Amino acid sequence: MAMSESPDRFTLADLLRLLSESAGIPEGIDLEAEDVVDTPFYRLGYDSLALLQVTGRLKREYGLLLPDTIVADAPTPRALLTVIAHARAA
Amino acid sequence: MPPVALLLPGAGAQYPAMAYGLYRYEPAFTTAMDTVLEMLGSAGERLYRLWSSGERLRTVAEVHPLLFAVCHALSETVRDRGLRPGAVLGQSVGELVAAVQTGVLPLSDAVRLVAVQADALAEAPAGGALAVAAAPPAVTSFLRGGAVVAASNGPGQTVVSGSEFALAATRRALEVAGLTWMRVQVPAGLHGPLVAEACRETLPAFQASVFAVPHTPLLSGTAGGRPEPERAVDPEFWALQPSRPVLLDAALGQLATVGALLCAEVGPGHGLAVQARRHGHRAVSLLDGCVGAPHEERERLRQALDCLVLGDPEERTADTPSARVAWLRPPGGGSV
Repeated sequence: MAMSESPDRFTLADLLRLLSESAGIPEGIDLEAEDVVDTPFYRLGYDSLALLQVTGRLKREYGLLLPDTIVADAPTPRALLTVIAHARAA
Repeated sequence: MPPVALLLPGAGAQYPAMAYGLYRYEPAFTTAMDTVLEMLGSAGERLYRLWSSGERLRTVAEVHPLLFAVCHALSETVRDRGLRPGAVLGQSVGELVAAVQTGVLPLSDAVRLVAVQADALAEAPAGGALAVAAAPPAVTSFLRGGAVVAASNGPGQTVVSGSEFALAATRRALEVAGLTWMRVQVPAGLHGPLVAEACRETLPAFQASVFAVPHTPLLSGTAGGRPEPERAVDPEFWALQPSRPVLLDAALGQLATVGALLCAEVGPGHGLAVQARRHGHRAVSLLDGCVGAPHEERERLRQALDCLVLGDPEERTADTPSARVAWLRPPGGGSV
């Protein structure tokens, strides 16, 4: 799968793509809705193993090292995107 | 109201004070919790103190009976709303809850057996479990030190159990292969040879109970689907379950043969609902792993029961208050 089209930014769309490739697309949930970014991952239908797969891919494909506690520390897409932005800036 | 499929999880789904936010707030839940805790006697008193104080559950003797009580009480809450189970699926200790919900065992017998079994498992050699993000065939070549496949949850999830040494060696092999793993909060080497002897010791206790043919379709993690009637009434089938692998993927596959049912995970977590979705079932979980304030558990339960009582949100008008509650749908556009 291709890298992000906007290499300078890791967007919500990038994150949702990695999640859906790991664990499928949760239908009945509008991933385009405004509040998706603040909806807990488990309510979007993604369990912690799916999130760990995503952090593994972030490490391999983007060179981002995220702490193992990320799954507990970043319960929503917004929280995870914030951690990713800090890691990319570092 | 459409019938629902009750999904009953095993160890790993628990969290401190799980579902305590519903206690003394939700009458059917409270009555059922009190009934089970009272049946557990002095152990019930200890468990109540652990549960209400929000302490972490550490041993099988704590996790299994409390998880049994919470899952049973959540099932009774679903029934209290007039919902009828059209099928009941149990895995691990959830199988004993399923036995009660399908009429295989009276509640008092199941409570006695869950306590006997938990005490025996707590004395077994120490062990634990890992979840791996891969199908069982992709995991088996990385098992080390006697670790075994404890649960086949789906093409993307396999649970491995074994001693701490075995798990450490297996983790290293998985990491070298680039496979993702995480620790499962299971305080024993469940569903593997480490607990085989402990399960054997409980056989006389199970043989002292009379098992009835299920009155509602029963799907068993151990059987990987619906056990034949003669197996469903065999004490050995039930006694040895904690040492047998969990074939969740196969059991969820057979659920479709019962009919198109809305699935309700009647436990603290959301792991079964996520796996059910991958099988094309519509699934909601009553608490959704909602580790948080008591009012959050109440709100989550209210939303989930709304989903079950009112049916598929897509068949409702868009302005129904909980129309956008997160129904879990299968990937790839499938539907039941």
